[in-house]
Amino acid sequence: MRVDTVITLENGVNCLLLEKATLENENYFLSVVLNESEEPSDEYVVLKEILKDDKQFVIKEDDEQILVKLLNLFTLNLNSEMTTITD
Amino acid sequence: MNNNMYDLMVKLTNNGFSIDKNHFNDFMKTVQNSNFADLVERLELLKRRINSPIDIIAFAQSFLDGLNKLEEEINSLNIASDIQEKIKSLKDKMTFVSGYLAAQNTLDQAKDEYVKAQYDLNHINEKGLNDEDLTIEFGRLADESRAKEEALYKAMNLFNKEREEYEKTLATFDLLQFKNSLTDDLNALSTAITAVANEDLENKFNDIKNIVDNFGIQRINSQKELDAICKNYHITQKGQNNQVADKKEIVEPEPVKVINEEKPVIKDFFATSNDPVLLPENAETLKESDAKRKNDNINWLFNELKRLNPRSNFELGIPSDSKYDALISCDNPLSSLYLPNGYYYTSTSITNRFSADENILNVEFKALDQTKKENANLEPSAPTGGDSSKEEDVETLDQEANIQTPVSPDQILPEISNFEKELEEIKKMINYDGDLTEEPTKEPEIPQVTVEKENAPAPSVEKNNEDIFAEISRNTAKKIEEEDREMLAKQQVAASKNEGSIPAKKEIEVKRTRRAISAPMAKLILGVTATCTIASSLPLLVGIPVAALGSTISTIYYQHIKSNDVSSPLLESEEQPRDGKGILNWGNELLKSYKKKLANNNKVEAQPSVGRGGR
Repeated sequence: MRVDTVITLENGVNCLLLEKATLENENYFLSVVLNESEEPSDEYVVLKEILKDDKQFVIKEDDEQILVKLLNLFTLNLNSEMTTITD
Repeated sequence: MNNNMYDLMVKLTNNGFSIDKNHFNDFMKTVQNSNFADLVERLELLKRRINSPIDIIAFAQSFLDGLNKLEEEINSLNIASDIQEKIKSLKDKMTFVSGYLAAQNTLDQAKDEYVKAQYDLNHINEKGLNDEDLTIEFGRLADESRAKEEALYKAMNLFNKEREEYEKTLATFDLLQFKNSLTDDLNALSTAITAVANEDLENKFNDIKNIVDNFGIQRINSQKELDAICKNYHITQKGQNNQVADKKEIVEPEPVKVINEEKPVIKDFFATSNDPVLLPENAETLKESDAKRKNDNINWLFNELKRLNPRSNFELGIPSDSKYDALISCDNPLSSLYLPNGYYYTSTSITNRFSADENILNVEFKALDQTKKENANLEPSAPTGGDSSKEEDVETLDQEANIQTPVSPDQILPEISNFEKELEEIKKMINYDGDLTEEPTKEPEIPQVTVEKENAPAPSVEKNNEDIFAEISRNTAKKIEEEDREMLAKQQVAASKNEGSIPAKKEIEVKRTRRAISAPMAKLILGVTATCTIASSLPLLVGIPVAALGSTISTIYYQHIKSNDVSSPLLESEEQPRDGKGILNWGNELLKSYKKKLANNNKVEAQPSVGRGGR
């Protein structure tokens, strides 16, 4: 999985992957769920990538301690991106 | 645009302009002979440009780098001169921003060190150590990682503090005064360097001078044009800034080589009328030079298209409608072509109007066989004394003015007025770039368009899908107010109860992956909002840089969103968020302000579907 892609899950939900962070050898993605019109909704999740049997799976991360660390990393990434954007 | 005079006058006054009552009769005379709606729109645009923020940080970095290089050269030459003093005087003028720059560098370094420490910790197993050594090494790396994390937080706090100080200084920043002050010192430095007669020194000095000349030039030129228009139309500005008139002569920018070869043009909005041109410069010269620049740009676009799409055949011709600047025909469909940076395709044209304020081109596009068919059906061109049935084969646009080609009714293109249709077409064009599930490890193909980064705007391979995002958001712009409350409540409930469309603690297979092309700014704002939403759901915010998020939001808001039309009392308040609810409010407010900005930017023009060329 990569940032700037839209993944479609087996339950039909589409998610746009916004940022990626790696923690303890695991990949996590900051994502926004897309609604039926394929527009960003109000639902944001952190998805953990799992590779198994040559297939890709995700699991919603809800461990608070991990989320705290990930949010720190995402914030750093966002700050870094902000300095490169000009209008 | 609504041309009702009352509405135009209201718009004029809303932008801070009014008729000079002492010259009311003169105003009436000039207005009668011109397109007043265009005038009001132009004044609004100029005002927006004048008020838009300028990137002082980027200027300061380039300027100080240039001075440092000059200083190094001077020191290496061992010249007895007062040049060093003059360089120091210039550097002293940047102290208001140098603290901020230093803090930024420290933060960047702290971030890199933290990330490296984390990486080393996460990859400790790869070192191939035995159990005992691994245990000791883990202890060492864990301590180091903690130390780097603390250093990072300190750097972030220092950075935020410096930025606050810097932003306070900005409140009283006067661009002209600042540039004039720099110019005085540069002139003195120039004299000293000329005395030394060293080519390297002179070259380095010229680099610095160019940086200063270009700084804020759009704002200065816009101010000049605004003042000229107001003078000619006898319009007064509220709280008129007389600095341009009062200030001593500033160094006029010499023609600087612009990397993308586009030269700044004062757009002549009288171009479509026969009215007398009222700009202070020689009107005929302006019109001729405008037309020549336009021709140059069209030829440039035509050549770029040929270069980027070597397997396609292109022809340049005369458009079917005066709203287009030219006609380009091709034997391949428009959606399959690579376009130069900043250019986009609509259903009928190639244009840069979504990404440029000047040198705007709107070039009609047709399939090559269709163009040839239509040309065969056209009436002969205006009598020139030659064979009237001979088909004109125009390779450049130099002959454009002399050829009058009647438009066949078949060439009138249908207007797309149904928004649902536009939305459908937009959805087809954005986001989907082939199914990647078969080759998940293959890098997606990105059009190989060369981008000249030096002194040019930020990379725009994805930049202006911002406008696509605006098209999608436009239909929700009207509902933003009433949705806000519902959204906030929903977010908090959902976040706290861990509900949503993705069940927790369950592995879900990814069935399909598609490439998404999103504008960097849109993606950044969504990322910030996402981070704020998730942070707000965590009971303990210890360790989460709420203040850092708040600062990030402030920076984005002030640098990229705040304008005359868009303002947010919440984001402009001095009180930063301190808890989950606060940061959630800020994140949502940022997103709302951004959507409003996009809606405002696009509400004047109703465009057909927009896409960016690529494969």
